[in-house]
Amino acid sequence: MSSVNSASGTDDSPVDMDWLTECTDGDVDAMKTMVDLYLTRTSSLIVELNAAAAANQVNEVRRIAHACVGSSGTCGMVAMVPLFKSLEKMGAAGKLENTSEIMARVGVEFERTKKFLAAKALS
Amino acid sequence: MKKILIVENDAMIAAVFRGKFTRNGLDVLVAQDGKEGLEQITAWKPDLVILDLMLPRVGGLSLLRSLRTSGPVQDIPVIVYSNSFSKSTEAEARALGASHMLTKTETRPNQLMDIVMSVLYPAALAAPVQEALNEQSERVQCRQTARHLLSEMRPLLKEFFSRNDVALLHTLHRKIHTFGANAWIAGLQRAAHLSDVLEMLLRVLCEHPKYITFSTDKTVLQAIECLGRMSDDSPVNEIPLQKPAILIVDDQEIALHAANLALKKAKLPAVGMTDPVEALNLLESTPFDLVLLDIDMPYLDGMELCTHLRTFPLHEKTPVVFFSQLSEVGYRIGSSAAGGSDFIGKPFLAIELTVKALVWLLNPPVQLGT
Repeated sequence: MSSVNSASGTDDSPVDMDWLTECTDGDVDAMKTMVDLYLTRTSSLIVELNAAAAANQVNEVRRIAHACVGSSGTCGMVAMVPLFKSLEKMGAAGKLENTSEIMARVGVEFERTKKFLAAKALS
Repeated sequence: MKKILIVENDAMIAAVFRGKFTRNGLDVLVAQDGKEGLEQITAWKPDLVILDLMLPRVGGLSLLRSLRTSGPVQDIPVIVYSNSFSKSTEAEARALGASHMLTKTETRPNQLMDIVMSVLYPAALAAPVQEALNEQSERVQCRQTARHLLSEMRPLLKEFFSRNDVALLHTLHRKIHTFGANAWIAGLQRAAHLSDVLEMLLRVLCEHPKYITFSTDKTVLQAIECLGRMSDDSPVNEIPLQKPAILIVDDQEIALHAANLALKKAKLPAVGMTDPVEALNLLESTPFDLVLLDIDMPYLDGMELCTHLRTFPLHEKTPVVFFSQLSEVGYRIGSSAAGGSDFIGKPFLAIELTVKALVWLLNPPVQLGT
């Protein structure tokens, strides 16, 4: 079986709009609520993740990244999923290597995701 | 004589309604797809159109759009009857002037008959609808058809699992559509309810094969097995699902929100909690028909929570479905040992969760016990 929305898709969109639409039954208001919830929550989790990575708190990195994988997957934010998964794996393995590089990519992809959603008038 | 056009590609459904309407003094014509439907409307000018939405060639909504710009026939009343509507579909059909939006699983054939008569003869509300047909024989025939369809679905699904050919899933989707219609006429309310949402799940998987996972495979299989259990002549199968009590526990607010949205699709309101300790306290004194639990939660994880709740007399046998990341195979095994009934892969398709919940609420797959 092929994998669920963990890859960023063939068109390189940061958001799987089909997934988000299915998730909200195509209701634009429900979509906006979901997006708002996601952006607000993930924004603060990224701050926490940065702090945990800088302090080499492996369990915290795993825990926060796990939460981010879940919420990103739930909302179809496909560009974010593999990055958070990498951090979750590193945290679980107890080895935080190159986290600053990955966190930088998290920042870039999160901004790209926000711009994409704004262009769709969802945020 | 008033004229009524039925646009329906399911021969059985069309035949049943043709019989009903004819016996009630109506002139009836059937179109088997949207294109033929449009042609018949223009040429025959019926007084009323009964329109299914899932049609070959030209879909129901496209037909409605074309009809409303078709000059002399644009004001013909249309009753849409189909399976579950998405909000956007329903809004568009209403905006296009559908006089009634009827969900097959919630509208008995005789109710549809009454609505048809009220649209055609609005001033003659007292005119009784003389439904003289032997409904019992219709029901028997539809039950037989439904069971036959199920017998075809099982090997089809098995073949799909071994070949991963999406064309097989399309065939299954069509069979479920027909099954649902037959279950509906046969009075198999529970099977009709589940097949309605299973059809939606299969449609999503056919349109987006990338969403097919081990979890969705398992859910489809469970649903078809459940339909089998709900297609015998047991009286309980004719009783619609009463409002169940559902608890969702997930520390992630977004997942909780998504799960709630999913259940609302099937009109299944749920209590959502982000704190597993508070949830455990609630479970000690409150009965629920279904509990959905995330595994990875702080302070008290889902498996610990499940182990505890199994010690409460109220919840010895309550179905517990875990949300589990697709990679967490070990967790899945552990969840079973903790007394869990089932799991669903995270992230889940909203409609998959709906199907899964209905399977456990309508007719659980195994006798639960600790």
